[in-house]
Amino acid sequence: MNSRHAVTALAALATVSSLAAGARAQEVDEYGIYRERERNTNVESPQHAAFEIRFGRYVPNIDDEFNGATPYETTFGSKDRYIFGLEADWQLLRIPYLGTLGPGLGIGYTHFSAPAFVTGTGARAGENTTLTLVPMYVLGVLRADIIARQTPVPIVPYLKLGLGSAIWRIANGGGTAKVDGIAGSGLSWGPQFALGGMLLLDFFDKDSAKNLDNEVGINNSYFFMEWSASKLGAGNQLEVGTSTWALGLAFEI
Amino acid sequence: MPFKSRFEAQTSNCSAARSVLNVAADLPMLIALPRVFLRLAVVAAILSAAPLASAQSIILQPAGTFYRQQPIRPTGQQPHWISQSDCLAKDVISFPITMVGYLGYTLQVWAGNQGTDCSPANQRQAGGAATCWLVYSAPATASPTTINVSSIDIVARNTPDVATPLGYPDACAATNSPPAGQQLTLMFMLISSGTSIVGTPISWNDIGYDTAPPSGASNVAAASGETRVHLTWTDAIDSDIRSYQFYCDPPPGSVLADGGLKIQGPPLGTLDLGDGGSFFGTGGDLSIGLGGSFGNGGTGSLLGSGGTFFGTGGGSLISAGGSFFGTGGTGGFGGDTSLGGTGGTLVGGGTVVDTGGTAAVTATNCSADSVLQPGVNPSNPDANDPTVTLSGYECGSVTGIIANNGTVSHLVNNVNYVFSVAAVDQVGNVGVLSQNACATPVNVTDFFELYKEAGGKAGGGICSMSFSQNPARTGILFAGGLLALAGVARRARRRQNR
Repeated sequence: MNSRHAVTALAALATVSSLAAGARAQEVDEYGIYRERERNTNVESPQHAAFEIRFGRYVPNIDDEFNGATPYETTFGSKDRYIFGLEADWQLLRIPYLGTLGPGLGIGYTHFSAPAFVTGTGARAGENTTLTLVPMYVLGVLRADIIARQTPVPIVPYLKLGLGSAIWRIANGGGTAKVDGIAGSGLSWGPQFALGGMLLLDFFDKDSAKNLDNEVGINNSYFFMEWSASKLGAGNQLEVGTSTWALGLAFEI
Repeated sequence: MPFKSRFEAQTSNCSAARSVLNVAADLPMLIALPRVFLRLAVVAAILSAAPLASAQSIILQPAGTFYRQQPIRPTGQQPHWISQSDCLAKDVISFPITMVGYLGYTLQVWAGNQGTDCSPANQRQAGGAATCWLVYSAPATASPTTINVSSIDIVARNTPDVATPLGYPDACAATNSPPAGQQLTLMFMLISSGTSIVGTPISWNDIGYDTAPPSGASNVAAASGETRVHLTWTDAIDSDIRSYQFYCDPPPGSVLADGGLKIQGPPLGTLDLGDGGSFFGTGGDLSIGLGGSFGNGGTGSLLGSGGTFFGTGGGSLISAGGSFFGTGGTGGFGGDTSLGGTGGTLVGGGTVVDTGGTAAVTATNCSADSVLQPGVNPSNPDANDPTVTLSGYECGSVTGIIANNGTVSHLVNNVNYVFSVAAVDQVGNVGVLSQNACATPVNVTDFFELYKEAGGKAGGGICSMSFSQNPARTGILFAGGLLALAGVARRARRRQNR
């Protein structure tokens, strides 16, 4: 099956699912159809914010600072490393026929560890050297939920743009590493950009979604995938930005 | 004059007809009656007060006033309990008390397992039912006073039915204690005769003994760092572990310029120029070559001869009986743990390393010459001399019952150290030394050093953050982003207002 057929099949599946869900919304007893009106009434609770739990690959671009030297890859290797993070967005504005817009705050954590080297040799030593990163960012977030609200396609594309930073710390077995009295820690910052798409999970079980809204105030639940790029650090800062992907769950309340 | 009682004398002025029943009719009698009752009340009070004055009681002073010959451990480490070292030191615990009505009686202190009531006579006399044992007995002659209770008497558990009472030092043996110790109740009482108690005994429950040191840590391994070594081990199985104590050989000594440990004796594993004309020295356990030299030589070994770390029987790593560059004879084969081989030379007529003997195996004891030997009690390594301890070899510790790793810092690079780990329980009993592990701290290059060597400029802490080399670009980008957001927001509000 080529990709064109796959897209067609997915669209058909989505259409059938939405029709089935619509059919379930009309319940019938001996007096006829009931609950149709209340189903068609928008009883969503007010929506003000979005929260994300995210997980993704994170390999900092530290070696981009050098022409040829690869201290990061030499120490930690070239394998993928991962990051866990949280994000909270305030959906300050609802733009008609588009979606929501507002500021967002995010924070993540990742840790790299590998044995250090015996000085003057390529041999690994018995103690580890580590790099700890805590990336943070302030973003403007635009979520175009018009598609999911007005069409059967449960997709919400979004765009994030703003300023990121990362606290970093390099340590060895004795604590924060030092070279000539300079501590191996600092703060890097720079622009950050992200583009992603969210799959509206409410679409698959609208009754549960409404219950979730009624009981705990979660308007919508999403699974999302995102590509992001950050340029954190330049000049005298450690270049800990990256270009990477992330996925996770998002909730609008 | 006929005898009259005091009552008759006092009432003689009253006529016989003036009975109590008709005193109301007689005012003088009515006035006299309260005086009679008052006197009766005084007599009654005296009679009732007499038993109180003769009651026996003991008041135990607050725990903070207790003292002992051995140091009282901090709160949380069972300060009043008796450890094995307390027992071996013949510690005495002193309880300040005050007593009332004690003269003529005997003050006794009985011990029993926690919660045991030692006041019933059968608990304190032979006959098979006694579970208490006497830890103090002396005539009560003064109050306030201090009761000095021997830790040995507490630990010995010599109940009246014990045929062969335990004494020092057997009472302090580890086998005489549950692994996690035994909490006790002490009952202070005054005895009139035999087992008869007068007054009410008082109890003290915050006491116990634990003379069983914890079992040893196992699978100890050492990994070299820069001026430090990282130890890992499998924690002991005991439930009352408080910490793990590290032991180092060479031990900590006088402080070096870098705050490190002083090397005592020839450092293990260093290459020294020894006597006998050899290049790498003689005699040292880890010296390379005994008698081996640039020239021709006799037998040599990597790690010494005669049962050292790797070899026995004169085997050698490079050449036995030969020399590095010279020609040589044949060396001996190693024992089970030797790397040895037959002699020869690198340049000369022999082989570099032969394959005699068994290849190196993982040793359970990386230095037979160290004082840190597996199974040794570091609190008392010499059974013939209880004053000897290995406390001078202590070089660090880590707290926690499930701790399984720790770092020994302030070591000297390129010195081979022998390490051992011992578990310590809640009352300070130190378990036996683990198998030892050897490691040599070395200069280490960490990621930050590699980064700096490559020309990296970052570092100095968060507060040292500098702006990028092209702040204008970043600023324009950031400002542009904000303007775009503001524009979108403004437009959205306009639409909403329409």
